[in-house]
Amino acid sequence: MGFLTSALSSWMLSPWLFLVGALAVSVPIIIHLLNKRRFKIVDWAAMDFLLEADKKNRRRVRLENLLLLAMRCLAVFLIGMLLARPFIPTTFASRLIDNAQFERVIVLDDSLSTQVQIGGESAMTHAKRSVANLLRSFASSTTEDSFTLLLTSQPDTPLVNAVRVTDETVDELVDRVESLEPSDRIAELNDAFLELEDIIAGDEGRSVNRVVYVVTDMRQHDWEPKEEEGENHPALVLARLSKLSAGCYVIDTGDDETGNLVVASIRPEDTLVAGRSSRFDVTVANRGARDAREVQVRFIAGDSIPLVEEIDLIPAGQSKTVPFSFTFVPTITEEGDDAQSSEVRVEVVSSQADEVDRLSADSTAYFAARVVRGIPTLLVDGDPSAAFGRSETFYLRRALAPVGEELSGIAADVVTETELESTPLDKYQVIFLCNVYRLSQQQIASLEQWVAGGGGLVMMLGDQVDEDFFNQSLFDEGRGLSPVRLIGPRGDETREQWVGFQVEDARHEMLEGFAGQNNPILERVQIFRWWETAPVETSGDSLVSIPARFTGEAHLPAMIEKGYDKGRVLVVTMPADADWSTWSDDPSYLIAMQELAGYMAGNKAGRGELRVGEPIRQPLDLTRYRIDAAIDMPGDRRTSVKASPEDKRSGAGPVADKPERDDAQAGDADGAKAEAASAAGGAAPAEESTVWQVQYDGTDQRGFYRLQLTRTDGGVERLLFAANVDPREGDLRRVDRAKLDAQIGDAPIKIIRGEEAAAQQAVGAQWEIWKYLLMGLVGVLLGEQVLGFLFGKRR
Amino acid sequence: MSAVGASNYLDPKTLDKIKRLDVRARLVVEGFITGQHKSPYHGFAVEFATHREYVPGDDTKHIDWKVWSKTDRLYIKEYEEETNLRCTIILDASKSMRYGEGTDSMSKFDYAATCAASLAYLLQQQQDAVGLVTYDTRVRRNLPASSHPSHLKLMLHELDRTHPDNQTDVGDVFGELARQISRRGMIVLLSDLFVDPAQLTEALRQFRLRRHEVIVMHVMHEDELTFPFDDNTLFRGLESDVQLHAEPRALRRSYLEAVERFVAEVRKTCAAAGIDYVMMNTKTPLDAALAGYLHFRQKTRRNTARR
Repeated sequence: MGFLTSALSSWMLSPWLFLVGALAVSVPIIIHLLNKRRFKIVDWAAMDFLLEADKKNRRRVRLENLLLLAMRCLAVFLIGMLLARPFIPTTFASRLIDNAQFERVIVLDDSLSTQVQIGGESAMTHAKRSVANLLRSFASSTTEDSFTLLLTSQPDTPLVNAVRVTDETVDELVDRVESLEPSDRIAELNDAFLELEDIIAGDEGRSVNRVVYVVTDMRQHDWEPKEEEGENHPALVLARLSKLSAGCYVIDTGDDETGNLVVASIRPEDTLVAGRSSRFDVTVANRGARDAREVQVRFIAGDSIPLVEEIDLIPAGQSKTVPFSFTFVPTITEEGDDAQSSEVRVEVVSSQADEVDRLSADSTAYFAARVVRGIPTLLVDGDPSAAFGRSETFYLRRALAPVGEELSGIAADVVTETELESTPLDKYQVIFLCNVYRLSQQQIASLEQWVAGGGGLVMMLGDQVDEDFFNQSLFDEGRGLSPVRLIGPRGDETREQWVGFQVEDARHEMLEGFAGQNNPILERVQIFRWWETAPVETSGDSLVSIPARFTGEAHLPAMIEKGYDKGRVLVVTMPADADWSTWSDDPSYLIAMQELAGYMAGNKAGRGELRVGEPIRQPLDLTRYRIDAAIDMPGDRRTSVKASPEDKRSGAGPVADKPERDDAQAGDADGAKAEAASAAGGAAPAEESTVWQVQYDGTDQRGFYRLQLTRTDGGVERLLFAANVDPREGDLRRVDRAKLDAQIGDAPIKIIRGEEAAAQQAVGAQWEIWKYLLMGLVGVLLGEQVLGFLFGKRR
Repeated sequence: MSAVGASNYLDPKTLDKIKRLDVRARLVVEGFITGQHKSPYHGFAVEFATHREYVPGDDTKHIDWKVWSKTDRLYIKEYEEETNLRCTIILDASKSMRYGEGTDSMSKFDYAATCAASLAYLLQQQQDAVGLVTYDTRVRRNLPASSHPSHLKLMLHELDRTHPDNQTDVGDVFGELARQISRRGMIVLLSDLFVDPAQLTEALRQFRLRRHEVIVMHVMHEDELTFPFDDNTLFRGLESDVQLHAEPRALRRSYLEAVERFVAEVRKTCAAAGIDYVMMNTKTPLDAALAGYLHFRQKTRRNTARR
């Protein structure tokens, strides 16, 4: 019974009334049966005639009786239905059912695409007018209406929550609606619908007549089912919603014009280094159905004069990429602040903006150019020496950052093994471990964490490397940082025999320069000794690759690379100094090492890129920064944020977590205890960690966000973030109605144009059904009477 | 007459209404005493019929001497003989006649018996002989016709004694009766005629072949003619074991059609055989029904007599 009522309650107000009605259907049948049992007995003489008459009439009579019985049952059933329906508008029925209240829920799509200009006004203006009209009609209707407004840009908090709409409140509500501005976010239709579903589900008891209006411009990408949503894509959720509510309307305020130019991406080629010319690829997409001609692209970096390129033609639906070269001028900053930020803005201007670029909001893109003085690189010297040329990193440091006027774009710091412990790693992009004997467990852990976070680690092996330690802690059967297990040093100590390099992967970014024709550059290198290693084939998710090998019979790997979470690890099976080879004397050494550093650094220039709505996240080391930070937002607004403990992400996390969880599930009796323990265990490192996180969710507008961190020594650091609109919003294609209809299925959803909306205001869908029910009931009762009369007359 | 008055079936009111009427045989009947009925024998009674030439052997006392004196020829004067009537009342005492028992109105049997008693009384009054036969599947009682005054008493006693039971079977009964009633006379059949129509036709033909005048008084109960039932009813056959649970309203039309067809058929059979058919509805007061019929007979008799 409970299951039944809950199943029925999705489409009727008082399912129990309906059930009573359904049970009452049996009443005519029972009456019929009782009637059959109650009879007179007559001793009859003229039996023959009677039997003859009966024989003739039996089937007809039975049929007539059945028909009448069915009609009576139907009438009773209809009465039950009638009473069970939630929307009975007559005063008689409202007194009977005590529910002539309507809850009007409007889901307003205020996504970026509603900034599209339609007839001189934005689509949002049209939508707001529709909503205002609806509100006025609610106020003027005889029913008591309450009003809930949900914006798709903030689906989790209703803007207006169940406010009674009366003549007094309507003006205020209309004002509130009129003051809304389109957001820069995408339409989270799905989240809004799910939220609404939650609200409705939590509201079983009140169960007022709920009418849902979705005011949207019906863009295709808003309604398309996405993989990760599974069964919860917007059309399906809305279909479910419509079954829970009395009426469901989708009010379409968009139009079919799709012309729009979008700055799809701004991509720097490399890490942006001050003083070096950086190349940017700007991609402009034409999302419309018409070709765009003479499109101007302006590249504005900071306060500099805009660079302008013109694209002659972007065919409909295609995109063009324009390169810009820009050199960021190194600014003199205080010591320690080695990152400077520059605001880069790209604008697209078209002479026929009305036709090909109807949405101007996404014609400007922002890029937070974090310019560095050089790729921050840390060299860990396992064999330091004060003597000229004796130190392990002597050649390497000079190769990476040569002395002189010319900037190499790499800033190299050298530390010893012991100093490594006290060096904060997070500011470096590349770390070279040169012939390091051993590392402490803590050092390994912090290295692992650093690599997992996106760092590039190069291990150059030499004579000091402790084979056992390496295999146990760094290789760790493939789970550690190293992709190889060490077998032992090979080669000829007398330097009489040597091997060379052989490039295996000519397309490797680092070795591109030495591939094919250019291989002879490397050929001169003589390598006398090297480590024999056994690489694993795969490590975790990433493939282990061998870009270069040694010549010679064994053909042993010279360089072995693997991915480690977000970062990368490269093992070179020979040292960086001149002990085992002549490479450091060779010109190729300088090229290879600089390329290597650039390659290992990866492309970190885009770290300040955000989507509108995506939170700003910045790890904050409490030993260096104060807990309070400030954010300057577009429109000269400023807000302050506080760092909070971040869930510590350890490299071995997933492996360590798993058995713990299994334990918690296995032990039923002490399950709770185990869970508590694991929770405490999980919390403990977070408390200990000094690295907290600043998080700011309010990136509602496109533009630049400047996170201002205060150092403990009083200095100020600024980090630049750029929030861009979701390029999907620039796709103004309309939803395919046929497909949408198919997804909706038979759910009672009405899709209407904005102009028609006001006419639908007071009517709930069930109202109609109620009417038809009543008409049906009258028809059935009349039919029953007429048939009864006809049958009686014929007898 | 006291004994007569005590009978259940001799209703003074009815008798009062019909006593001035008489039952006359429309056809010629054979009787022994001179009465009001035409005799098949041309005799020498009151009413002149014709002259015929004397042939030797004729009784000389019938010679019309007045004609001889005028024509010198011997003619015999003939008269229509009028004789008394021998009427046999055949009463159906089958179970179906019991319908109507226990209700306000008479049962069919009561009605028929009263009718029989009234007729018997009437005939007795006009010196005619009356006999009574009751039957169901066979002849149950056969009181031969007699005009003796005490015979009426006997008949009334017999009527009182009779309780309808058993089924009807006219085939055997009427054949037997036709053989037993040898002299031509009047046969009055009082029955609801719920038998096989073919059998009935055959039975009636038997009487007609023996030149009896036959009057069929079809006794039907009002319910059987109008079928006034409304509620669910279980009909139990009086003569058969059949039961029928029916909704009467649904059946009325067809039932009445069937009855009508049956009555029409019987009427046709009777008309074809020259049999008087009288529908006796138990709802109609007996005196009115009987008086109506007897008046009708007188009229038609006068017509035939004039012919």
